[in-house]
Amino acid sequence: MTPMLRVQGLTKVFGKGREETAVLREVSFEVEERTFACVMGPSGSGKTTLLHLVSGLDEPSAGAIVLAGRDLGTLSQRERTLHRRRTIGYVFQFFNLLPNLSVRDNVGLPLAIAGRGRGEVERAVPPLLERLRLAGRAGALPHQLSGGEMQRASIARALCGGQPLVLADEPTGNLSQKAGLEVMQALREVRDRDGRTVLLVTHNPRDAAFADVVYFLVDGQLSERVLRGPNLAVEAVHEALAALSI
Amino acid sequence: MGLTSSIARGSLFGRPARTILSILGVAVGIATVVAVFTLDHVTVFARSRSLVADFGADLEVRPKGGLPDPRDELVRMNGVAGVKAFFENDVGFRSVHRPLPPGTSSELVRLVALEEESALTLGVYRVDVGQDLSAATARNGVLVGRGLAQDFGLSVGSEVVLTQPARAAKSACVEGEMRTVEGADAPEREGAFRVVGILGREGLGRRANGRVVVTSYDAGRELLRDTFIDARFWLRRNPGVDLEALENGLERGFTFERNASRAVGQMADERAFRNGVRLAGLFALLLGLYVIFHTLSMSLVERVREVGVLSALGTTRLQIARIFFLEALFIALSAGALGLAGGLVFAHELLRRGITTLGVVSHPVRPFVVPWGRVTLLASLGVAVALFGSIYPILRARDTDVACALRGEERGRRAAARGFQIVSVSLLVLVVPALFFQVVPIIGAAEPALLGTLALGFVVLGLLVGLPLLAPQLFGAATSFLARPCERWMPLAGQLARASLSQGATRTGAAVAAIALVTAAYTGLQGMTASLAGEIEDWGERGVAHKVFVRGLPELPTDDLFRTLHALPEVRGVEAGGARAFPSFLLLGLRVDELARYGPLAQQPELAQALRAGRTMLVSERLARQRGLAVGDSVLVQTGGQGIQEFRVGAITDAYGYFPQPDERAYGVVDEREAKRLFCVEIERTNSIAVELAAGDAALVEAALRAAYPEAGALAVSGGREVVKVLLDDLRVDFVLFDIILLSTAILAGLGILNGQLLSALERQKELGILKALGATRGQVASMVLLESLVVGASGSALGCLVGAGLSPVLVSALRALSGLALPFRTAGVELAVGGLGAVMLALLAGLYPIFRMNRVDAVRAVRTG
Repeated sequence: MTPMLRVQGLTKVFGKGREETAVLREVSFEVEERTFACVMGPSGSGKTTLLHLVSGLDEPSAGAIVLAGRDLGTLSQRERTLHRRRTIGYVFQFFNLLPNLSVRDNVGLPLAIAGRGRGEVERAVPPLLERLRLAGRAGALPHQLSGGEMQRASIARALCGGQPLVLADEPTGNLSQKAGLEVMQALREVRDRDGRTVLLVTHNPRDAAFADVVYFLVDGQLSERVLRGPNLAVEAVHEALAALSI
Repeated sequence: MGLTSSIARGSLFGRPARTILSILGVAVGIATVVAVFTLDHVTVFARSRSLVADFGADLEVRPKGGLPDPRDELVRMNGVAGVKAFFENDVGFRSVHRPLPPGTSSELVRLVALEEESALTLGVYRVDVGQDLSAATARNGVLVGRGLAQDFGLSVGSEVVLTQPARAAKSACVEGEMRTVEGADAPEREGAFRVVGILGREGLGRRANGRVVVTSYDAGRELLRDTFIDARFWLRRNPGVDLEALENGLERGFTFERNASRAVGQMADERAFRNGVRLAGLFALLLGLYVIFHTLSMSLVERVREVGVLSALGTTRLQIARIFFLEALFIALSAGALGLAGGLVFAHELLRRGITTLGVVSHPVRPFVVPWGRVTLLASLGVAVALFGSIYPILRARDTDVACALRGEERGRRAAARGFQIVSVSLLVLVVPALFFQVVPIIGAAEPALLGTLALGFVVLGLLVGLPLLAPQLFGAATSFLARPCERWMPLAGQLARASLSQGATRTGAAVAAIALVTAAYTGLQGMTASLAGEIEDWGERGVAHKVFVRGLPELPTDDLFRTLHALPEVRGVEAGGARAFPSFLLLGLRVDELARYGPLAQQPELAQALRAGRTMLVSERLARQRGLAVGDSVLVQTGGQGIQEFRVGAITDAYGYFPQPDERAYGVVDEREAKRLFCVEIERTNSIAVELAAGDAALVEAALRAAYPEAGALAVSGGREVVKVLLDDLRVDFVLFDIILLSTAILAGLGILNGQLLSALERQKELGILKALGATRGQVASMVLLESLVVGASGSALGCLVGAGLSPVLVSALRALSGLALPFRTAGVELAVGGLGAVMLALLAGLYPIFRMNRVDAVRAVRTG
């Protein structure tokens, strides 16, 4: 099976000269299709940077990223944008819903970006809202939602476009325990029910336990230690973290 | 002060584009009004050495007869502050330095003879180059009009010769018979004069299209001692005496006309023009202030988080208020200085190109005298209002929820500071205009027509300025609704544009209103100029369309000339232009038999008969309007030796009597024999004619004349349509100043939209980053902005065209009342479309820079931060 994502020798350096900082160093890994993968690491370990590179939002200093069969390094900025549009659904840490659009419109945004008509949006959105228990909040503006509701809306948006890969950047970072659990269950469903590939970055062991495979990023480098599921226990994740002194 | 100034400095110089555009918005508004006022001041500067803005003769009076010394009577009259005697006539003119073609003795020009220093005391003319007539130069000095100076290449010191017009044999009624008492072959009297000054285009300088000569009263009287002259007096009223009281005192011994424009040549339309220019300047100032008002008042929105952080760190509200105030002070003061300097440079350049508030002249206008007091006040007014615009963000900052601000949110849409908005509307619609008119008063009397137009203008202004401030949701909802159909073709752009238009309703409303104001001004002005042009075109059709005008002929026997021309089957009739008198208005003597071949006399033989019988006059439309004459009214005409004669108005028509040299559209026509009998004018010979044609053109007439009179030198032949075209071209050139001011206001409106879009871009950086992260391309971002601009432009354009089309008849009515012209109502057809499309293009253009800024948003930064 062709991996959904292959990262080879990925390096990202910020700054120049004396202020040069290597946030990622020679990171290599693969994510198979229909896999819930997780990259764990403490704050500042380069997790978010990794997601930005994988999604084509940023360019690596070195290395290669092959996403859904295409080498991002060979694409122009516009081609990367279009590839990202077709391939990736994004769930952000800070939700990043558009403040002027309702929940309904925010969820349907990927279809609008893809140029689909209003009719198609109106057919696609309600089932997602129903599924993520947002049907009653369809007309609300983001500032009227709770944190959990905003994040569920963000997940719905990530699903609406039908992209095969969902990237989730610390999706529970700003949520309560209960809300965070709901969000992780929803993400697990994305893999189990929709058959999509999920790549989660987190520092939360509970969240990592939802994954099929967990990689550990320490000081910009991937550890050799990998946890494989399914049904990983939270304790196993804690043990791994302790072993890595994270 | 350290915290305040460092944060303010960081904000100002950290966002240079926003700072520069904010400054420009106010500066352009201030510059326009400073330029307009300085332009007007310099234009009329030379009228009065005391720099009083505008004064002139209040009354023109004529003694009824029987007064031994009319002048002394006037000087002693209560309420009279100044008296100057004058008369006018046509005289022959030639330059010593430029001989006329063989066979031509002289050209006919308008002579005005008056007592010296009338310019100083009555302001009836202005000397542009050289010096005024004085006691030293009165004897043989003349002032010449600009038209004459150009045609003959005259300058100060040029020598000219004035010739008494050819005299008819003087007849007197003796025992019921007209008898010749003096032969017609008495030698022509001529006088040698020297040009001491060249007139400016105001007052007398506009008479006869600038082909005017001004001499001292005595010199003129000497030259024309055997010619009938109608001596009149200009009066200046003592301001402390009521005009009606003065007129009551005059009624015993004098006839009078109240409006000084009769004396100096259509001053009413000069006032109308100058007032129009001043109001256009006010409009530009208001638009500039309105634009910056909104820009400053929305500036908080992009800095919500900054305010939150400052508050969380312990900065007091007063300190935060100082930061905003300091920024506004910097912008306002910079704009005031830039506007003041820019306005003066602008005015200087316009004057250097001959563009004035009384039309366009062909030479630079000097000296450049700056009315520092008033322009500084105007600039200060602009600065003060711009500062006032900073109050709104200070109020909003005070109400900011710190926790939400730290998250970069603005909690909901706060209810606007209602009281502040009402005050703002009052400021822009009432206070600023009131202050403006204190600094820059309306010229002349506050006539009902003018006041009515002003009032309507401010109602419109109030609606367009007030609604976006008080009910922005209307604009937001309307524009959002208009953008809805676009979602079908551009789903993302349509959706986001709609959301932006309705959520940013205040910004949307301000942009729509700015575009609407400019479009309304443009279409209103175009409607007004279309009416002015229509008046000329209508008159042309009535009076000159089928005529050919010839001058420069040798003095030819009229009968021979007429016979020659009637040999052409295309010729309907001929009018000879030599029989002229000036009994307070131009009176022409024409051959009724010729006139009866065409026009109203051809259809009304009884009218022709009445004209032949005497005591009946045809009056031109303009003269009828000026004097309120109708058919059947009586016109009193002062003659030389036969007292006051009464004529009945037989018809009001422009079909007869017009000659382009010198240009005059207010005149009367009588039978030539009547003119000869009363005024001893020459009717047997002429050197200028007007030929009415059934077909053919000027070439036909010229060929016939050259064939018949080979000795004729350079003839000046022009068709009626050519004359109309020249007048229309003059009109368009004169209105170029309005076009310039409109361009300035269009720039202001564009700046306003650009500012609003930039603010929107800054507000939505995070949103734009998210869109890019989700796969939106640059083209889609650009489409969103352009769609918003298109909807704003189209809405403003439609609203503006509607308002402008409604304003146009009002402006025309006011101009009718002020100028006495018979202006038709004409809708600006093509101009409406041009104005509407132009407004849309302006809005689209204003969106280009914001698109550039939006596409530079870093998506990574946007999605990373909260």
